[in-house]
Amino acid sequence: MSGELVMLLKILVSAAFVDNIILARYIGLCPYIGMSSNVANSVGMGMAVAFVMVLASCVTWALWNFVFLPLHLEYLRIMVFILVIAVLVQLVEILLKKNVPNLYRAMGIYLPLITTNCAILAVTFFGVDYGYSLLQVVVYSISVALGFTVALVLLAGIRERLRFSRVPSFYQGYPIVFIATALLAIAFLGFKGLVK
Amino acid sequence: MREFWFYLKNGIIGENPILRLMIGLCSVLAVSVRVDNCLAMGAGVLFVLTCSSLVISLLRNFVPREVRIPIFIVVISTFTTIVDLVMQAYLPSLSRAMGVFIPLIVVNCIIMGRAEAFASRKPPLFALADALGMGIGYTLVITAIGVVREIFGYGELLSVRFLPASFQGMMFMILPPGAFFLIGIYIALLNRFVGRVKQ
Amino acid sequence: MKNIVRIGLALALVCLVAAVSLSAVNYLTKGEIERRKAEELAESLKVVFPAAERFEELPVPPDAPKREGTSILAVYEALAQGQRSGYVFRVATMGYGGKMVLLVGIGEDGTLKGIQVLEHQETPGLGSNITEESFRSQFVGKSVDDPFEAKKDIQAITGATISTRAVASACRGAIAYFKEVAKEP
Repeated sequence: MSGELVMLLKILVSAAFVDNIILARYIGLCPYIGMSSNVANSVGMGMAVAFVMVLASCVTWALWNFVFLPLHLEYLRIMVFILVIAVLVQLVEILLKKNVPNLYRAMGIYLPLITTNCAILAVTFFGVDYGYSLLQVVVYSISVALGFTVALVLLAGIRERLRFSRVPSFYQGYPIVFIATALLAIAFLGFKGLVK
Repeated sequence: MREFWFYLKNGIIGENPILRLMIGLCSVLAVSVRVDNCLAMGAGVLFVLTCSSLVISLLRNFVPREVRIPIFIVVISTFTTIVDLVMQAYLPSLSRAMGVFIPLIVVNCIIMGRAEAFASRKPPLFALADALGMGIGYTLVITAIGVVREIFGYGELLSVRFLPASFQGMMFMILPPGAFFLIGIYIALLNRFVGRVKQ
Repeated sequence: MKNIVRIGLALALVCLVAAVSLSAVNYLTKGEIERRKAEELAESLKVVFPAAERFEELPVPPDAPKREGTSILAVYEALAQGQRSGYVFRVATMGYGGKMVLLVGIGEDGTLKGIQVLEHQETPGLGSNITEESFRSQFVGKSVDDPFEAKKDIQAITGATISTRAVASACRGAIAYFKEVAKEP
């Protein structure tokens, strides 16, 4: 296998599992806790996040390499990147509303929520800070979104089961969710050292 | 005037952003490994939250509803960038330790959430109270987590050796699982002693 | 129509104020930030090559092939009394937890002057001990012809063999580059 392909595979495995954005990097927690109450929601959220994440990463990568660096405007990065994400989310919302109204209604409030998803902004930063090429950025963002969705779905599955368990009263609701997440995080620690 | 104190207290306990509203979590778990990081993060969030809330509240009657979100974003990101640049210049080791989480203050749900729910609807004095309360509440919780993690994870507090040298440190507390676990416990404790909030 | 103008104006105004204030803050802090970076670099280089008085960066071909799984990020010439007394290599390799960046100082006489770990993602308490003086000091004085193998001529950290191996291979990579560079006058 060529070195380039191996590199892409490494990016995929580490971004999705070893360095899982939620369970290993703690980024993207708000939607994680808020949206993981059932598996269907989680999958929907995951897909929406994936879409915006990949688009945003590509757009910001291009902006960074062709506008920011040549013009020494690095300090405007935070503001412009988050505005790009906000605009993309608006666009996605409009497109969905017009072309796939069912999906739009099913997603409901998740869509505007994606703008403040730390994970998307973080990924746009990492895409340029790691010095990735455009292809690597695409693979990276898809992998992160994959890891995000996997973590979300896993927790949703656990939460659906928890509804039928006897949980001590003060732990009901969020406390037990966090403890379950702790266990998930321990499991994902097992991936460390997978990528050499 | 009494309302001012109500909003302030509310941010710290009743509607504590981390333990009650469940927002602003990302930064808490990642940064809270050492107490000095916690204090720096708390200060950063407090600064951005307070300045943004004030500005947004002052602008609330001049901003058309349709563009309010982009305007919030511009205001918040401006203050966040200021914190980022100032830290890089004058507190470089802290800036490096906290890494990507300083720029991520801009998407800290607390700030955006309060801007939308509160600052854009209330007069500046109350917006200030709410911001201060939320900021202080945030700092208290993140530091509470940090204290436990640093003592049990490193045996130190503020990098000063606290426990005997023979104490090796619980890896669990330094790594992600420990953080999640602690937050779960703290929420449960708050539920026990201050009364539950409807889920 | 009037509404769009209002909206556009409000947005433009806020953006303008933001851009101006950020440019101002950037201008004010830029000098300090640059100064800090230069200071940190100079300090690290000095730790790795204490005998040198100053350092000069040398060009590195951007797509230089990796040696021993290590990429060369930068090369600095170590100068004392106007003469070159060695080099410092800034290298990157993959450790247990992720990317590791080190500085390796090698003298003209073919001995290692020191190493410094700039960035790492090793496990706290285990692999993270590669930053400890007790671990790094064993590299000082080693010859470029030594094998640099963990558990052979390099004492490994208990429970962190992979981290130790990564540091060793980073050194081998730097040495390989040194041997190429040393051939040129």
